[in-house]
Formats: sequence, structure tokens, C-alpha cells
Amino acid sequence: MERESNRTEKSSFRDPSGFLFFQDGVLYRQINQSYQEDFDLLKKSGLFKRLIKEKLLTTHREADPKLARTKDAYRIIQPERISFISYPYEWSFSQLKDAALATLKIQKIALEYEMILKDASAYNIQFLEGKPILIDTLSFEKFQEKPWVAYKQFCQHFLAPLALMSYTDIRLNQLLRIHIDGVPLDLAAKLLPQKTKFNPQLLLNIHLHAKSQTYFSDKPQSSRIEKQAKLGKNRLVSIVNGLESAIRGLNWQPKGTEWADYYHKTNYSKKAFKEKAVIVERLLKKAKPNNVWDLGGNTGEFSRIASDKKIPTVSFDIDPAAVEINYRLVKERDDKYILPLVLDLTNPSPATGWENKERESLIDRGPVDTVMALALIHHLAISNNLPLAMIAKFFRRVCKSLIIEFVPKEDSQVQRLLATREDIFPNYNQDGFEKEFQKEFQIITKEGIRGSKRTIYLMKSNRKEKFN
Amino acid sequence: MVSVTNGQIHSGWYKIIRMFAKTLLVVTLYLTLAKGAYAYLDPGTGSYVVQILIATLAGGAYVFAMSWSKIKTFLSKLASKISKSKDGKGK
Repeated sequence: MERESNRTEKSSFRDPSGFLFFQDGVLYRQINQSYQEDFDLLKKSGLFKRLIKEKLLTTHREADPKLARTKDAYRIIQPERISFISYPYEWSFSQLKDAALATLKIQKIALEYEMILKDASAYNIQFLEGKPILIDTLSFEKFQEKPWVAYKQFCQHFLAPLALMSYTDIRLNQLLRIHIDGVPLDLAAKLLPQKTKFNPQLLLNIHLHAKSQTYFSDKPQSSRIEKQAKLGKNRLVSIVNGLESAIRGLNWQPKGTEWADYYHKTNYSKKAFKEKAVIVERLLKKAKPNNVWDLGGNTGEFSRIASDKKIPTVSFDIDPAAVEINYRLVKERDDKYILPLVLDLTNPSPATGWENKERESLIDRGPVDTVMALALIHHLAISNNLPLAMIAKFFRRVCKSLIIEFVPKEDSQVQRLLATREDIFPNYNQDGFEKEFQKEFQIITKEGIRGSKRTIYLMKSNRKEKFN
Repeated sequence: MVSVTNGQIHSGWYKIIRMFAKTLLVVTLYLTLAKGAYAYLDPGTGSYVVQILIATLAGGAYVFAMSWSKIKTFLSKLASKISKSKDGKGK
């Protein structure tokens, strides 16, 4: 991904133990002297080795100390890169659940080595080769027989949103998009159904926790309690075990949504479907991308054509059920190259947090080599009233080459969209499509799908100077 | 979860609140025992207290489970003794 070559990563200001920065386009982490003791303990105790072995923490290389940005630097490391940074509000239910369980597993292992997680942010977890992994090497500190500092954060970032998605509505994961430090527990307690009070773990970790937070919020003795409270290791482990059983007990089944059973509903003949796959494969071979975004990827049927070629592919879809099915397939197939994510392309993830720079927007995380937009254009142009020119401009901003399927008005899927509304799209036809897209792209090749009225194009961006 | 003490009926909630108050007392007792530590996250006092409460409950449940298994062992031993002695009588 293209980035400014020498900047400080804007998302790593919270923890004074260190920060991330770019030098000549390479990502480094400065570890400050204030974290020296804990960093040494992480290495000497064997915890670091164990977590690397279990693929729960990203690796790093020691880098030149001269790269230090400030005088209080202790070490400079070069962390392993994640090909696409994703955020919890873009994850499906099981992705957030697996991220939560990974965090708790790390916490339990850390306690074995007399260390503890000093934060439990969902943003510290990323997906690498299909699995959740901790990316913040500075998340550990010596265990001091005190309650878990990050317990509240864990409940807000993982337990509350998962409980809401499971018990109230799957779409409530979007609360994470508004609340950067996780879903406030009093809000979660209000939105959860009464029956969750009969679940002992949810009663304690969410309902009572929320009440306790409110009760102590204005009590003068609070700071003394915080400084002096004690909690032994076994007791802390029992809390972590409780959280783990709470998370494991939360479930959600993908069904009854718009797209999850899409392929069964369409009138695509099996032959046409197969042919579409062959064309996509051929065009991918021609495009030779290093990475792909499959926009409107549904359950990842066509993303897998790219991932089977070992091309890192992000498979976006608006439907949390389709993304959930896709993620379950990733796990089942041990697919290391697909990252399924929930995304409404007509309102994509914005840049949020301090200065709008802590969490990047979708466009900030691009451009990508190739975008696949299969059976998508009619949803953008007709359901969302987007003029073809605007769609073409957007694609040019996010990719260097484009594999796009044009679905004409005569197609039954478009007819379905037009059935309930006036046809105010006189320019929505193949000629109009080619005319608008040729302003931004060069058409390399186009192939009709036999057995349907659709055409698939491979296009290359006209704006070479920006990307090369 | 309903129990009767001194002729009054108490719900499970009453027990939880009582336990909560006890925990507060325990926290207060610790005030003189531990020294402060630095953290960049605000842990939240309410979150600390809930952890101690959960740990106390879990501890209580553990003690209960242990004593229950002891009671069960005791009862089963007793039962086998009785049946043995009955067998003895039968002979």
C-alpha cells in the first residue's frame, strides 16, 4: 500500500511505551526507555518466543538504533507487516469472536510467564494468513498481583459488541465505528435483552460492571482503590476463564439476510456461472496483481479464484451473513490469502479518531493493484442512483486495474431492482458504460458470458503517473 | 435462588448485593497493603471492584464445590458403611 515515506503512525500515540513510524516507506517501532524493563522481561522470560511459536504475536527484526526519533529510545524494531489493516467494525461475528479468544489466550499464556496484557484493544488484533494475531509488541507488562488494567477495555472492545450482535442485532457491531474505545457498557446493558441478566457471565461482566462503573464514577475514594487493590494470579485466571466461557457461549448463525443465499436465487445457469469463473481467472492472469480487492464479494466465490493463486485478496461485502460464511470457509479451507470484511461501499469506513487519522478510511488503505467488481455495478448505479461517471472515478482512485462485470437492464436482476421504481437511468446501457469508463480507464479486453446478457471487462487505469 | 434467614425471604440479588458490600470492605482492607502502579489506560474503579467481586464469587464457588465434593465423599462413605453394616447384620 502506498504511504507517506517518513511519518509517525497516527494511531500509536496512546501508549507512552513507544510508537510506530515510517522511514523511507519501511515501518519501524521505537521502544522507549520507560518500557525497557518490561521489554527485556518479555524476551528473557520466554514469553515472546512462546507467542511467536503459537503465531499469536507478530515477529520483528532488530533495526538500526540510529533510526531513533527521540532521545529516550531504548530499541528500534522492524515489525512484520500486515498486508491489509482491518478494523473490528469491518469484521464478521466469528472474526470478532476469534479475535477476542486470541486475546484471552495471549493473556493466559502471559500470566504463565508472570506478565499481563496492559491493553486489550481490538485494534491491536489483525488478521494474518487468515488468523487473528496481536500486532502490538508493547502490550505486556510485569504482573503485579493487581486487577487487570485492561479488563474494562476487553469488555468494551469484545464482550459487549459480541453480546449485542448475538442477542440484539448483528448490525450493532457498527457501534464500534462510533465509539473508538469500544461500546460503553451502560449502553450495551441498555440495549441487551433482560434475559442476558440470567447469564451469570453477562450479568457480572456487563450489567453489574456497568452499574459499578456508574456508581464509582464520582466517588472520591476511587483513586485510592485503583492504586491499592490487589488480586492474585489464580483469581485473575478465574476471571479470564469466565470471560472465555462468556465469549464461547455467544453465537450467531448467518441466515435470512439478503445475500447469504444469493447464488441459489439468481437465474445464473450453472454453465454461465462456471464460464464467469473461467473468464475471471483468465483476466486475473492477464492483470497479474500483487493484491486484490473483491468489492461485493458475497461469500467469496470469486475471491477464491485469486486466493488460490496466492494473491492476497480482501473480500468485501455489505452483508454480515455473507462475510460470516466467507470467514468460516477461510477457516475450513485454511485459506491464508483471503480476508473477508463487512463494508457498505456506498458508505465505506471513514477515517476516525484524533485528527481523523487514527483509523484509516477505506480509500486511505488503497490503492490496490486490482479491483474485482462482479455483479456490482447495477447496485451502485440503480439502487444507489450513482452516475456511471462517479463510479468510474471512484474505481480509478482505488485501483490500477479493474475487472468489472456490466449487467444490462435486460438482465433479470436489474429488472428486479427496477420493478419497484421509475427507470430514471437512460444512460445505463453498455455504450454509456464504456463511454464513461474509458474516460478513466483503458479497456484491455472484454468477454461476454455465454448464457447471460452480461459482459466482463479488464481495464487499466489511465492515471499511470500516480501509481508507478 | 431463594433462601430464608430469620424468617425473611431473600432473593439471589440480595445475596449478590451483600457480597458486593463485603467485597468493598475487603478492598478497603487492602488499602494499607499494596502500593500504586503506573498504567497508561484508566482501569476504572468500577471495573476493578467488579473484578474483585467476580474473583470472590469464583473463590466462593470453588470453596463450595470443594466442600460439596467432600460432603459427597463423606455421604457416600457413610452410605457404604451403613450398607456394609446392614450386610453384616444379614449374615
